[in-house]
Amino acid sequence: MKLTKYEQEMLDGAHGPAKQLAMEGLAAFGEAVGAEEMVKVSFVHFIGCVKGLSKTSPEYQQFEWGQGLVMEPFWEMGSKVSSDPNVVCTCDPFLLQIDAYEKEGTPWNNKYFKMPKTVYEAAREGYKALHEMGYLPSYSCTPHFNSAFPMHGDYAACDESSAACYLNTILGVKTNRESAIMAPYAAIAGCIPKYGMLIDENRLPTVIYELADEIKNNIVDDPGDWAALGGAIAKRANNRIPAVLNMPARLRPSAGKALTACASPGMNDPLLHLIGITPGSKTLEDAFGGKVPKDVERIHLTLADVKAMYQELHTARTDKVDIVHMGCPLLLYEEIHQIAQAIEGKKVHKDTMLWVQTDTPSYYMAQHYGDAKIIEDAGGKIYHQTCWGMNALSVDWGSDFNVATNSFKQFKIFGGLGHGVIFASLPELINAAVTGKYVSTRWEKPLDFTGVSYHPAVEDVDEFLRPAWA
Amino acid sequence: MGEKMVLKGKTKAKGRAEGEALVSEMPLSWAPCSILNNGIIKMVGNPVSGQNVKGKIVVYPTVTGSTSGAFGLLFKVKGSHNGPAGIICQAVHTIDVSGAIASQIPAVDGLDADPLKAIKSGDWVTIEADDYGNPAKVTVTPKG
Repeated sequence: MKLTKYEQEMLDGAHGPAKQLAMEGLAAFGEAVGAEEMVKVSFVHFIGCVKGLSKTSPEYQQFEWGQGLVMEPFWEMGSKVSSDPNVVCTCDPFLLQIDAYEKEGTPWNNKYFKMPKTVYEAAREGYKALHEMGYLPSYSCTPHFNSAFPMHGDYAACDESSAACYLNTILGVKTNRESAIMAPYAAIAGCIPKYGMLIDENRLPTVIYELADEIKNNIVDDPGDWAALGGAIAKRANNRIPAVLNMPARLRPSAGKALTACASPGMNDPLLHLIGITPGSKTLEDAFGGKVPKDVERIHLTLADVKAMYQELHTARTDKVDIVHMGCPLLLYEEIHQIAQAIEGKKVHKDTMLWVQTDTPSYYMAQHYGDAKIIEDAGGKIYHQTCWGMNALSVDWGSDFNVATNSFKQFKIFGGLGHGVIFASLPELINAAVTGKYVSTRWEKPLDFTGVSYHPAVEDVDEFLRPAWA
Repeated sequence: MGEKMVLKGKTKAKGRAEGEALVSEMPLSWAPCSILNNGIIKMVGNPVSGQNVKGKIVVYPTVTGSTSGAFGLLFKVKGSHNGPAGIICQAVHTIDVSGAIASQIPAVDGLDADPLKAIKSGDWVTIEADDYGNPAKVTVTPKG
């Protein structure tokens, strides 16, 4: 691999042992993936981590996912992320809102799971360690909305798959679903081997989706509908890169967020060419870099395919709803406001938990403008810095409960843990929170789930047959 | 004991290893929620769920899900010592390439036969993947 003078110096140790260790890892990986050079990154997104958990404790086996093995050498060296001011490093939601450990009815303190104090302390130390390294403590799976702003044409190393798809698809940033070993190395060295989605020719579409007019005419401003459309696309993608025709002319950020989150569990290459929206893909010809090859498969989607996702993403055996989960990916302020308006004056059912999760800036906006109070007065919980799934993935919560969500990603990531999942629209979720029951109202006739098979929910496509996360 | 079969493939992570094959027809994730740190696969709907990857040559189509599969593989090999001896895929995703390199175990794909058909769980498999330029050698001795 051809290295610049500075990259070679880092590899040789001239800029300290941390940069050398990072470069050794990047160079070995670059050789394995056949990269010819490194590119400078302007954005790196890593995952949260625990620090200091006793290695002989059972909690270590649950909450240490492997980050420690990568990060400990850097912590011992007192390393910082790249001092290049053009590199911004952020991190994903982790285990809890760090100043609310004792708060009851939250994902980390409820009737199914109570976070051990040692885990809370290790999470707090982990949050601190990343901050001290120079990570911007976004604790968000959508850092591109309020914290970090990579631009069209920039290279990034993003460990959050749904964010990676938003970056590639909406912002025109180039990133892989980056290995969670390589991203922290890239944070230290400021560069990454040029491979995969960082190479223009690998970004060309390989399948065309034609959306029927009825989709853009009937899809409503509800993350559920956009997530269902994303799911319908991912379901048929089979690891190809889609070009999507006949999108609505304009796309709200919340809609784009719900749509592109399909990449996380559905596709290994996190990119959709939304024709007319994706930078560089104003037309189908643009997306293909010239002529559209004749032999590319064309898939026609109708509103029935979107509706079918509501039916297929359903593994609950009863209509009882124990948890209503909103904010996967994390909510924008405008979405919190929408939820607050819908729940104002109502009360969450005594046996149901309503979880509203967002990023730190939106959380404080919701505090400031009264939306958080409305949600909490109704009996819901609003929180930041975390995602419910981080604890549910680490510790077995059992299978005797149902979660309702409007996130395709949430269904695919956490749907394999054993509990029942119900995919629903926003009005259906609000109703479920208040009554404790799911009632199908999104479509002209209530959906019938009697013929739906349970676990795995979607059996017709191999790509759907297993859980996945982040 | 059936006849030995020698396959050629591409080295995606260098190394040599041998062990009993564990074949998953569905994609796998090395993230610790899908393959626990004790080595047991926990993926509802996957027929190999409940089996242990420790010391095995694990054969699967490609990765699914989380980018954290990279350090998930590393932790199982170097942290909890319940990891696989090597991996063989139809296509090794770059997430697993990096995990295998960090774990110092071989990863091979592009075999001249579909590994999901040519290799059965319980077969004894030897991987010799010495460098990226030359073909990797995979020897399969069917279970007796």
